[in-house]
Amino acid sequence: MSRLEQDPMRKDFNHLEDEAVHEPDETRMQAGQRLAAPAESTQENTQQASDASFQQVDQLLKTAPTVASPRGFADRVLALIKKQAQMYPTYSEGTGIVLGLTAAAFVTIPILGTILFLATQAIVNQSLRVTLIREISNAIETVAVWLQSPTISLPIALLMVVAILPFTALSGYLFWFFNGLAKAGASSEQA
Amino acid sequence: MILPEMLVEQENALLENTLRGDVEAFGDLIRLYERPIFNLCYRMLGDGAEAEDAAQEAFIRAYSNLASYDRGRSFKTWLFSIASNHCIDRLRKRRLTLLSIDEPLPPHPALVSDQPDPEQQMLEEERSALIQKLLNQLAPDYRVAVVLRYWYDLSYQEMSEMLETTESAVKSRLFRARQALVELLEDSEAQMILQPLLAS
Repeated sequence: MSRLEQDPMRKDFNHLEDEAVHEPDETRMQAGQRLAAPAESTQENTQQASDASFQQVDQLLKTAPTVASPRGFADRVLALIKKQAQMYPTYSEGTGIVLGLTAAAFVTIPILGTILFLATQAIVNQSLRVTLIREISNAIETVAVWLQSPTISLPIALLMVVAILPFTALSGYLFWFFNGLAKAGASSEQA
Repeated sequence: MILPEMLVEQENALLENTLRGDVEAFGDLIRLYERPIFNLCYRMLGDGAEAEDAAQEAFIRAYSNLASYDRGRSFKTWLFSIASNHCIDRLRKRRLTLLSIDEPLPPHPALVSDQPDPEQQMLEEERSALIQKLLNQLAPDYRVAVVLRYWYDLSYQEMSEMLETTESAVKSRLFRARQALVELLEDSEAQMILQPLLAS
């Protein structure tokens, strides 16, 4: 044994003196301490492990990337919304349509109703049919006579123009509205 | 979730104009919120095409119901509640369809990455796929809580308003969701992907 090598007894003594423990002994001692540790300490360790896991989840989620919307998404949604908006008229347009149709109904229903009533009566009753034809012929004849006089024909012509104007305007408006609606629908479908 | 004052003013002006019938103003609102709404739908549904449909539907519903929107509430919160509830409905309808949760989702092409480095980009994509895989395994109510809390930093109060529930229910859902995520992350496969991501 050279001078530099320690005596085994001296080595153990030095260890004891330094309060040092051999590595395998230390591992055994720590394992023993864990087993002997009170429940609170074990719970603490579990809690620490749990906290670490939660922190890992938090870190993962907090650093998660944001997914961008596809290109042209906003324009596509807007086109759909516009299409839907054009399919249904606005409040003012709706009011116009309702008023126009009501006016047309007020004019059409009495006229059509009278024509229908007279036509039914004429089909059922032969004498009435003859009378009606005679009356219509007389009326046409009377109108023709009246129209020959300018004092009567001129005001009648004016009245006819005045009566026709609103109907023409209403028909024009309805045509323009429905035509525009159809065109808008077609263009948004293309878009 | 506090919006800058300028943004609030801009938002209010756009809302006013939309209510007056200016559809283009609503278009600007869509542009303002398209990204967060799309991300919410994508994180909830886990599929790009379905997320686009859902986000589109959310905006259309918002436009149709704009007259009933309470101006006292935040528009963003209102919009988020429409989108999240719509996504929850979709997930509930989807329940009958059998889906394999083991198949990893392909990364979305529109994934945001500020890093031009391809390696970094790959890591980001892996992270996104892992998160999506984990989210897909959560119940819809838990999933929405996680997405709203972590991506949008919403308060418990805002979340409870949006999800029409109590604050304590939101806290409880969030806690259970995190607990479930912890358990899922303990899976060795997830850990293998996660460790390099967290280290990077």
